[in-house]
Amino acid sequence: MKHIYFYSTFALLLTNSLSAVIPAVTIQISPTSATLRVGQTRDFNTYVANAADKTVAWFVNNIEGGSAALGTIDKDGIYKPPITIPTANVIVIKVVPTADKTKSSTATVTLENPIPTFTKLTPNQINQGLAYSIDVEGTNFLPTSKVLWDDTPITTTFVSSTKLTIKGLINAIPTGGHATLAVSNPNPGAAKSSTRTLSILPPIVVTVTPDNRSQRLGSNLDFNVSVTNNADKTVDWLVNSIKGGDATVGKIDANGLYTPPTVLPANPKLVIMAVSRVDPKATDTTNLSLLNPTPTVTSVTPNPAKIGPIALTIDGTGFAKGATAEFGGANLVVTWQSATRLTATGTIGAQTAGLARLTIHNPEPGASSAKAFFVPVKPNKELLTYSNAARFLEQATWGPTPASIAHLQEIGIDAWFSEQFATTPSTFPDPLSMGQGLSALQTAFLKNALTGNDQLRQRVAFALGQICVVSGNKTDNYHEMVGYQRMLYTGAFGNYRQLMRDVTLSPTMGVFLDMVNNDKADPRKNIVPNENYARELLQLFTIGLFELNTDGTRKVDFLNQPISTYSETTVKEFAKVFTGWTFPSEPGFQSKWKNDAYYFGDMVPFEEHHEPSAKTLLGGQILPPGQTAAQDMTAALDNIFKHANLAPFVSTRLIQHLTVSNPSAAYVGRVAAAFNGPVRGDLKAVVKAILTDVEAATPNPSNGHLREPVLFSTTLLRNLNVNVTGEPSLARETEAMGQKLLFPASVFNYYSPFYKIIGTAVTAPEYQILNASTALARANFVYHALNGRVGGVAINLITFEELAAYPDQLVDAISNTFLRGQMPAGMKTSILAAINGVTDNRTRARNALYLAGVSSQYQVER
Amino acid sequence: MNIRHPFLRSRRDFMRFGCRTISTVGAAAAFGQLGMLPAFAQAPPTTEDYKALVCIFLFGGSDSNNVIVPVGAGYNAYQTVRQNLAIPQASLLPVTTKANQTYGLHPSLAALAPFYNTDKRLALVANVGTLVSPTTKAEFQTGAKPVPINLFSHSDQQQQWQNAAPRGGQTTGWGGRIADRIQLMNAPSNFPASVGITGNALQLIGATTQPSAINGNITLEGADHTPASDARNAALDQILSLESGVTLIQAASGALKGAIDVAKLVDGAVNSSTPAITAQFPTTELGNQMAQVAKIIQVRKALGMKRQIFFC
Repeated sequence: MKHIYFYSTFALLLTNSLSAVIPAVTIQISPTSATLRVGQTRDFNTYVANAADKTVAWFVNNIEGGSAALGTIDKDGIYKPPITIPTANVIVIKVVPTADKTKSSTATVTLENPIPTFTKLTPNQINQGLAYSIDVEGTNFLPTSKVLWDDTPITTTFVSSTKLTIKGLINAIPTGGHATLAVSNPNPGAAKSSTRTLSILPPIVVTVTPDNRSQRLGSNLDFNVSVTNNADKTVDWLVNSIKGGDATVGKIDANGLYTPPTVLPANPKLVIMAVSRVDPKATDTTNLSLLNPTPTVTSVTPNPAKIGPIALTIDGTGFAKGATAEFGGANLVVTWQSATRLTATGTIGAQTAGLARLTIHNPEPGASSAKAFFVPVKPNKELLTYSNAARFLEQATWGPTPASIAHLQEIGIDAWFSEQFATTPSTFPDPLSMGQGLSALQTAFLKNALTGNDQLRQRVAFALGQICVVSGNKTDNYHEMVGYQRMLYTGAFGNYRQLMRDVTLSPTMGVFLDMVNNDKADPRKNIVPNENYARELLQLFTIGLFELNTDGTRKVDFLNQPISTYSETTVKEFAKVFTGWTFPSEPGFQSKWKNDAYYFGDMVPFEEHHEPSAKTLLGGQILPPGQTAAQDMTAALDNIFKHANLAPFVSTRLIQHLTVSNPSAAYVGRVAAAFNGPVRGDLKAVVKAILTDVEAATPNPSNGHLREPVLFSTTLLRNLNVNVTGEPSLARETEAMGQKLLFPASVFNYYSPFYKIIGTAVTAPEYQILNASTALARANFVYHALNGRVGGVAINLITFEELAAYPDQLVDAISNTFLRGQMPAGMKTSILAAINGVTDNRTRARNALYLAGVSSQYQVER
Repeated sequence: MNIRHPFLRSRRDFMRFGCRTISTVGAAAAFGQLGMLPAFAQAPPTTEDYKALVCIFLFGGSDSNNVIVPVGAGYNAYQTVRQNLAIPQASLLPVTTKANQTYGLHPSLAALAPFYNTDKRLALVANVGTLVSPTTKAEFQTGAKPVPINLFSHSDQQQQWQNAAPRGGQTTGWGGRIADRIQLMNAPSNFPASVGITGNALQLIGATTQPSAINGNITLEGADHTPASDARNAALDQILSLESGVTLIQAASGALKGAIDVAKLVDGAVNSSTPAITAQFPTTELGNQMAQVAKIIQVRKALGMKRQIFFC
C-alpha cells in the first residue's frame, strides 16, 4: 500500500503538468518480469495514468484473481504461486484499469521449485544387512524430490512436503561407517538441501542374561537383554518359540519377567528367546530348566487326625505331580489333585507330643520338601483324659509312650488290665557261658523294660525283686541270676504264697542268704543252723518287725510301744526249718549233699541234713519233729502266709514301689483287703487295687515318689518314644545315679522303705540314694540321652527341633511329653527364657527338653 | 555298702559273734570317752590347722572276733567257740600291746600290722558295740537291763552304729552332730564339713549341717559356658528355685542345687594350683573311696576347710 501511495502522488504530479491535453488512459505494471519459487510471494505494483479511477483488476494467465493451479493474486497485486508448478512454468500477470478496460499491462513470472530443507533423519543409524526405512523430514519436498545418498539420487518416496521415505539394504559398511544424505528438488529452480549424516552400524546383537538358569516353579525370574548397534532396544520375548509364552511353559512379559507355569511341563527344559523388534534376525536364546516348586502346606483336613486309617486332604502351594507325603513317620499314598491340593491315605499311630509331622516331598527335578506341618493326633476314643492315662502308665509301666497313652485312652483301664494279664511275658536269653557277667542280664532287663509289651508284669516283678532281694554282689554271673529274674516275671501275676516258695527254694537266694547247704545243728561243734534266710524272710520279705493293723499302722502295747512280731527265738526256730537244702543237681550228675553250684531249678532236700527237732513258729504253731525238709518248709511258709501282717506289709511295699511313698492308712487298708481276699495273696488283685485306687490317681502335695534311677531312665526314654537299636547301655547310667541294676547294696535293697527326707517326717525311700553325686548323674543322664550318648537306643527329636521356631508350642509339646501337659507356669517361663536365649533350633529343643527332664517336677512322679 | 574284702566275712558272722559279745560301751560314748572330740576340735600348736576324721563303716561286714585273736593261753578258748571258723594260730600276725600282751591279727591284715608294731600309729578299740547302758551277760540274759531295739535286726543295728541311739528316736548321726559343733571352724567356706563318699549316710546327718555326698565325678555335664549352656543353666537355676509347696519336689531340687554348688566349689578347688595326688591307691572299691577322700583333702586349702569328716 505504501508503494501504491507513492506512485499515486507521482501520477498526480504528472497529471497536473499535462492538464492541457486529455490523454488516453495508460497503465503500467511493475515489475514486468519476476522469478518466483513456490512458497514465495511477489507484490506487483501498477500505475494508472490519466484516469481518476485508479482501481485495477488483476489476472493470472487471463484469469482474474488467478487459480489454484496458476497461483492467485489479490486486489493489491500480491501473487502467490501454486503449490505445484504448472506444466508451463511461465505465467502472465496482467493488470487492467477499471477506467479503461481495453488497456492492460502484463508481467511474466517464471515459477521455480522451492529449495528443500532437511531437518531430521529417522532413524539416523541403520545396520549392515538390515533393510532400512528412513524417514527424511524437512520442508519444501516435492513428489519429484530425491534423496541424495552420498550425492547420488536414490529411490525416494514422497510422503508429504515435509516428509520423504527411503528404503533399502546395506550389505557392506562404507569407509567411515556413514553416508551423507541430502534432498534435491528438480528444475525448474533445481535446488539441494543441506546434508545429514546417516550412521551405518554393524548388525544388531541381542544378548540375554542370565544364562542357563534353573528356576523353581512358584517364583519369577527376571531376564535382562542388551541390544547393541541400534537405538531401538526393544525386543520380543519368546518361550519355546511362543511369543510371550503361555500357561503351559510359563509366561514372559515385555520386560523379560518370566512367570513359570503352576505345573511342571512335560519337558521342563525350556528355551527363552529375545528377538530385536527392529531385526528379527537379531536374537539370543538361553536355556531354562524348570524345577519343581518348594511345596508348602497351609491346612490339613481332618485336623486333629484320629489314630488308625486316615484320608487327608492337604492344601497348600507348589505341590508337584509325583509328590510324596510322610505323616507321623510313615508314608502315605498320595493322589495329586492340583498344585494346591493333594489327597492322601494311610495309617497314623500315636505321636510324640501328640503331634504328627506332615512333610510333603516334591520329586526331581529340584526335589524339595515342605516345612513340617503339625497335625494333632488323637485316639479314637478318650475313655480317660490324656493326663490321667499318662499318670496311670507312669505308675503301671516303665513310662508312658505316645502309643501306650493313646491305647489306654481307647480301651480304658479294665480292658488294659485284662490285656496286660494276658500278655506273653518277656524272656531272658539263656546264658552264653558260665563266665558271662551280669551286665548282659542288666541289658536284657532294660531292653525288656524299654520294649516289652508286658509292662505291668515287669514293673511288678521289679517291685517284688526289691522286696525279696538278691544281689549280684554275691552271684555276679549271668547264669547265677537269670533264673531268679525269670521267677520274678512269672511270679508277678501269681500268688504271693507261690512266690514265697519259689524265692525260698531259689538257688540264687540260697547263696545270697546262706540257705544253700545250710546244715542241721551240730551241738558238738557249737554250730547252729544259719539264721540269715529265716531272719530276712520274716523281717523283709513277709511280715516285718512290728505287728501291724490291716491298714499298715503299727499296733501298740499298753505303753504305747510297738509290738515285736517275733523274737530272736522265733528266728532260730525258722532257721531250723530251712536246713537240709542244696543246689539242684546239674543234669547228668548224681545228686549229693552239697551239690556243685547249679542255678537252674529249685534247691533239693537231703533229709539227713535237715534239722529233725520240732519247731515253734509264729503264733505258737509247732511243727512236729521228724518232718521232711519239704514238709517243714511248706508248713512254715503257710504259717507266715496266714499272718495278719502279710497283707499290709506287702501291700505297703508294693504301693511305695508303684505309686506313692507315703500311702494313707486308708489306701493301705484298701489294698490289704484286696490282698486278703477273695483269693488271699492274689497279686493281680493287689496290683489292680494299688493302681486303681483314688489315692494313686489324685495328686496331693504329700504323695508321689522320686523316680528311682532305673525307672527314671526308662521313663525318660519311653516318653521320647525310644527306639531300641541295640543293647541299651543304661546300666552304667543308673549305677551312676545310685542304682546299680541287679546289685542292690545288700538284702536291704537300694534304699530303706522307711527312709525319710532329712529334716522332715516325709517317708521317701528313693531319696536315700539321692545325693550330690547321684543328683548330678541324673541331670547328666538327661544330657546324655538328648545328645545321643546312650548306646543302643535312638530317640528322634525332630518334632521338637521343628517346633523350636515356635517357643510356646515347643514348651507345650514338652509339657505333654514329660509332664502330662501340666508344666507349672513358672517353669514354662524359665524354659521359654532359655529357648529365646539361643537361635539354633537343635540347641533350643535340647535345652528345653533338658530343663524339663532335669526338673524336680519330672524327677518326682506325682 | 557291702565291701568285699578278704578278711571280712559275711554279715552273719558279725551278727552271730560280734553283737553277742558286746561288753562295753556305745560307739558315740566311746568317741567321747576316748577324748577324741576335744582332740578333733583343738588346734594343734604348730603347722597347718587341719584335721580330718575318716570313718570306714563296714556295715557289719567284719567278723571282729577274727580281726584280733588271742594267742597263747587264750587260743584254745577261742578255737573251742569258733570251731571251723577259727584261724590257725600259726597264720596269725603277732602284735604286742603296750602292756606286753600278745594278740594275733588276721593274716589278711599284713599291711596294717607295721602301723601298729613299728610306726605306732594304729590304735585298736576292741569289744565295742551298741548298748543302752553297761550290761552284764547275766543282765542281758534275764532282761534286767534295757537293750537296743531290734538288737538282731541287721538294718536297725547299722542305724544304731551311725546314730548312737540304741533306743531309736534319733534322726541325726554322731558324725553329723560333731559337724554341727565344728562347722564354724570352716567359716567362711560354704563347703560342707561332712562328706559321704558312698552316699547318704545317717552317720553324717546333723541337726544344723547337711553332709554332701561325693562319689567319683561331681560335674554337671554340658556346663561349658557357651551361650547355649549359660542360657540353659540360668533357667535350670530358676527352675530349681521354684517353690512348689511339695516336699518331695523341694527336696529333689535342693539336692541338685546343692550338688551344683558343691561341684562348682570342687571344680574351682581342683583348678587351683594345688598339685595332684601322686600316691597310688588300690583299685578296689575301698581303695577308690580312699582316693576320693584324699583328693578332697588335697584341695582343702582351696576349699577353705579346717575340719572335715568323711564317711565311707
